[in-house]
Amino acid sequence: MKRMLIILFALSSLLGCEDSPILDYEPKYVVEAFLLIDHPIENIYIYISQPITDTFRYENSLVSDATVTLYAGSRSYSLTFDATRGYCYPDTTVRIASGIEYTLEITFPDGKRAYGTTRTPERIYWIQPPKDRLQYPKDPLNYTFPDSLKVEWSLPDSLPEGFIVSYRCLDTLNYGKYLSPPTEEKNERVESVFANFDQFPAETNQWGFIAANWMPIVWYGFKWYGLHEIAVYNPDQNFINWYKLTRFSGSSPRYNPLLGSVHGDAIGVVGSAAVIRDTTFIIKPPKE
Amino acid sequence: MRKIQLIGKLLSLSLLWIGTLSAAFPLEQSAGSLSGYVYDSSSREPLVSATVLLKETNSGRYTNADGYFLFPELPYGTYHLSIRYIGYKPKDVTVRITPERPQQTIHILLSPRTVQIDEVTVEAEQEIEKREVIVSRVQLPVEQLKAIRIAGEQDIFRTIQYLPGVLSSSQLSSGLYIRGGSPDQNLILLDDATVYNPSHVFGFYSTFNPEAIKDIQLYKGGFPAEYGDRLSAVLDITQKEGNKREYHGKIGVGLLSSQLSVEGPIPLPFESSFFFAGRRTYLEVIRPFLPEDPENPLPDFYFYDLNGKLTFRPFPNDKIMINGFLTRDILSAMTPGTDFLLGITNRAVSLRWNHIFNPKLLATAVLASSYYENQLTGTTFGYDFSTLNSIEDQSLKVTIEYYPNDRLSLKSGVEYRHYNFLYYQNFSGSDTALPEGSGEFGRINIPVNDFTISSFLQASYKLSDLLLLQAGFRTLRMDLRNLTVGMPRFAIRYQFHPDYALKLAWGMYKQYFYLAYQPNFSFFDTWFPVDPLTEPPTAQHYILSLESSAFSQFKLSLDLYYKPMKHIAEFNRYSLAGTTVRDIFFFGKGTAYGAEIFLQKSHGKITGWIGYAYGFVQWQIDSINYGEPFNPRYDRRHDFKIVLNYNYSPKWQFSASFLFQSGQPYTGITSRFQSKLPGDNVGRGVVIPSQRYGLRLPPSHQLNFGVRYSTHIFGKYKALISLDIFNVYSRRDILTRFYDTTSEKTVVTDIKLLPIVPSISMEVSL
Repeated sequence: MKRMLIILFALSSLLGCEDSPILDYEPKYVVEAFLLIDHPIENIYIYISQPITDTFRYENSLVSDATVTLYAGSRSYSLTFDATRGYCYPDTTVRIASGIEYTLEITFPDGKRAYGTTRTPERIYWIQPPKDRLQYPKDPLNYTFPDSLKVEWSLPDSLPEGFIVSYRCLDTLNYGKYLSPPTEEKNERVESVFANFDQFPAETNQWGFIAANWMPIVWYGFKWYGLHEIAVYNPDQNFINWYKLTRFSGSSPRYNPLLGSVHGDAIGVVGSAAVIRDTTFIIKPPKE
Repeated sequence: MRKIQLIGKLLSLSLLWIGTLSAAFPLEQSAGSLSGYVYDSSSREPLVSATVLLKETNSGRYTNADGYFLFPELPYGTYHLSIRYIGYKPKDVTVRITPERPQQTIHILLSPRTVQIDEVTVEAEQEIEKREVIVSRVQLPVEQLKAIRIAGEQDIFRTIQYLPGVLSSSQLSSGLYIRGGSPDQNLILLDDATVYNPSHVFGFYSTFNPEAIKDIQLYKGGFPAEYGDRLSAVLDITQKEGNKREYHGKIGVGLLSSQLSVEGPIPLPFESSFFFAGRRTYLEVIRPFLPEDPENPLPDFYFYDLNGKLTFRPFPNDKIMINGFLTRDILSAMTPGTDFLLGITNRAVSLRWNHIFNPKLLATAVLASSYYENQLTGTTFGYDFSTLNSIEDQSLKVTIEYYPNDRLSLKSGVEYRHYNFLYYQNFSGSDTALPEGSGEFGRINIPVNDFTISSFLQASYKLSDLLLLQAGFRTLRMDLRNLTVGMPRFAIRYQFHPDYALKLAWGMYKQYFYLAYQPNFSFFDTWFPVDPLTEPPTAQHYILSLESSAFSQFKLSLDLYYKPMKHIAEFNRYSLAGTTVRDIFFFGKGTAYGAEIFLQKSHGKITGWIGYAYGFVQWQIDSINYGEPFNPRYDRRHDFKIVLNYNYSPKWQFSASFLFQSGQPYTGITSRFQSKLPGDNVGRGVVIPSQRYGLRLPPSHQLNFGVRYSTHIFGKYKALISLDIFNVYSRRDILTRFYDTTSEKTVVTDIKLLPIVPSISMEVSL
């Protein structure tokens, strides 16, 4: 009996020796800057990382009082913070050019500094843009894919590892107002099996990575019916690396310094892309 | 033509060297030699590593893979041999060496027995050890390898993972991490053919059907010059030859798979036999009875493996074996919008010819071919994709063994190996063919051809009854890399006490390959040769080993090892468009060191082992962890294991195994942020890691039980019923700990491994 008790005690000791994850908070500055060719200087955000033991609040992580300067050759642009555009250059007539090296320099409120450089890639053009209207199939799983449901774009001279494609719902509320004649019909979510796999139901923007200059219309891409924007990005390598970091790891992306492009006292990305966009309207399948 | 000339030159040099040495060590006129073979009496299957003790000289030998042994120099006289093998009745034989019959070859038949009481074998082994410097080698009787089953399936690699110093990346993986080396650093040979992916179910089971295996030898380090081109370890597996007298069959039925083996003599005028074994899963048979969600369908999966061997002895001194091995895993699924099929194939064939020129001079020629491929094909909404990665090698190896006298033994060989690698990827959405050697956006079709030539010389010399030296030198010529490297190896054995011996080994090891793989799932293992821009991975093995036979029936060994490595490679999982090996791997250096203690009992009613290893593994790679040293995921400080088999009676056998290991390192988290690409309104929560693998998961421990009952069914067929409980107290190890940032609240989630798995299986011998 005594022996049995010793064995049981030893067993319970073994079972009880699990550790708990260590969650020491170490704040870190994070820079996310995406310069889009032919667009104003904007889309530059600076964050301070938050403890994972607290509920995450995006607004709390925004850093709005850093000193941010963008350099393009001999020219420099002092950027200011705007709640909707992030750090931006107030003069929206100044546009990002193709084939230029841009360097972003940041001085944080506590005096720390960071920088990153990107060379903007070539422009691309639609060869076959999306159709104005797409009829969402009744049974997308057993639907054939005619060529008319294909989008295609030009190949730049300097090929990227891949193109990045996004489907974005531009109006999740309204549907009928885009019809002719307009109606009061409200927009609604696509009812499909794909919705079961969606870990980010509130996200209106869906992304894909493709090593070709064409793609079929992928019904996965639509979470709502109605008005959508389909965009194709010809990204620089910094953009691609950041995409891999944030989108290749499912629900648990983890920062990897090899995929970042910010140096100094921060982590993050300074990337650029040429982008082409077009809209399409997803028509609800006919009611049974 | 150039290759053939090179091989010819090396072979001639090798023969010349052996010839010179044989002239230097002429046979004494008053001496003869004694050689022989040890077989199973009922099947005539050669017994590997049987012990043969010559009582008059108190010297011993192990039999080789053909059951062969040799005492090269014996003065005329009468000798008494004692032959022992685990699970067989011992046998004593008397032989006379006379001037009329100076060279004698005998054939010894041993009869199997159920109850094992055999102390003499241990004594014989002690004597044999004095003649060979065998460092860090573990020989496991196949019966003991059957001690651990999961879901009724025996698995050789699972049992090998119960040796001290052999680790796994997780309970899910059958990959072997030996003394700080990763699975690609292990040379796995099946009847002389290399096996590149020895796993089923994407790493969960090993491909080797225990029913087809006769012998397994594992070198955990310090392996001799005859083995090469890998950094860490060698697993040398020999398949059964088959019964040479009667036809037999065996059927085994388990929860996941069934197996069938047949063996018997081939009706030829000379001794010959065949052995074939097959195993197949039948998940697809069970599947219709499982509840299924049409929106989230279960994939179709099956695997099978086939083993075969034909053995011929057309002349007394010639033996020819044809070996075959084929495995196939298929996973296919039709998920919403996407269909795919993933297939993994291993294939190995070898032709081996053994010739005995005279009892002291033996030659072996092996012609072998190995092939491994993984292939994925599929379509998403009409967008096709496919990949095919493969490696194929064809080799010719000639080895000569020469035993001029009782003090010296020599072994030399040369090997030519031709490789075909293929890397095919098509993510362009088009299924049109791409010419070989070309690449374009989203598509590559690159075959790589290369060859290597290896040669080795190895000599063991007994300086005195107490001191034995072994020296070897191996060369490797890598054609694509345009580099020839040399690898010296030395070992010393000193018997400083009748019951204790000290061994010291040092060796240089170089590897020809890199392997891109996932530690837990071997879906897309891809092999790459050393190319002109990379250096071959290199390791040195320093081993100090103390062996003791002071304890009756037990073998005790204590090994200290230190293994510095350089040019080791870590797969860069984010490299999508790499065109050279440098683009696909990060390179750095590493160190592994530690101590292992191993107490093994191979004879008697209770058999098994207890082992403990204390080890460190550290890597330093400039591109990882900011260039700071880190412990890789399979670094575990403590590793304690027990495996016990109890032969209670001829009908009942019990087995138990237990392990306790330090937790695996993992990377902690310091904070999170929300990343938003252009146009995102939610984005993704990204966590920021702390030092790579700076924390440790809870320790792993696991207890398994097994009961085997032997009986007869229908009055004449032998049946073995096995009841096994895997993970008795359902300790669920953590596979990985991740941080779910899909919501504003970060959730720390552990993915846990298998709970308790009871199983029952039955084998029937016909």
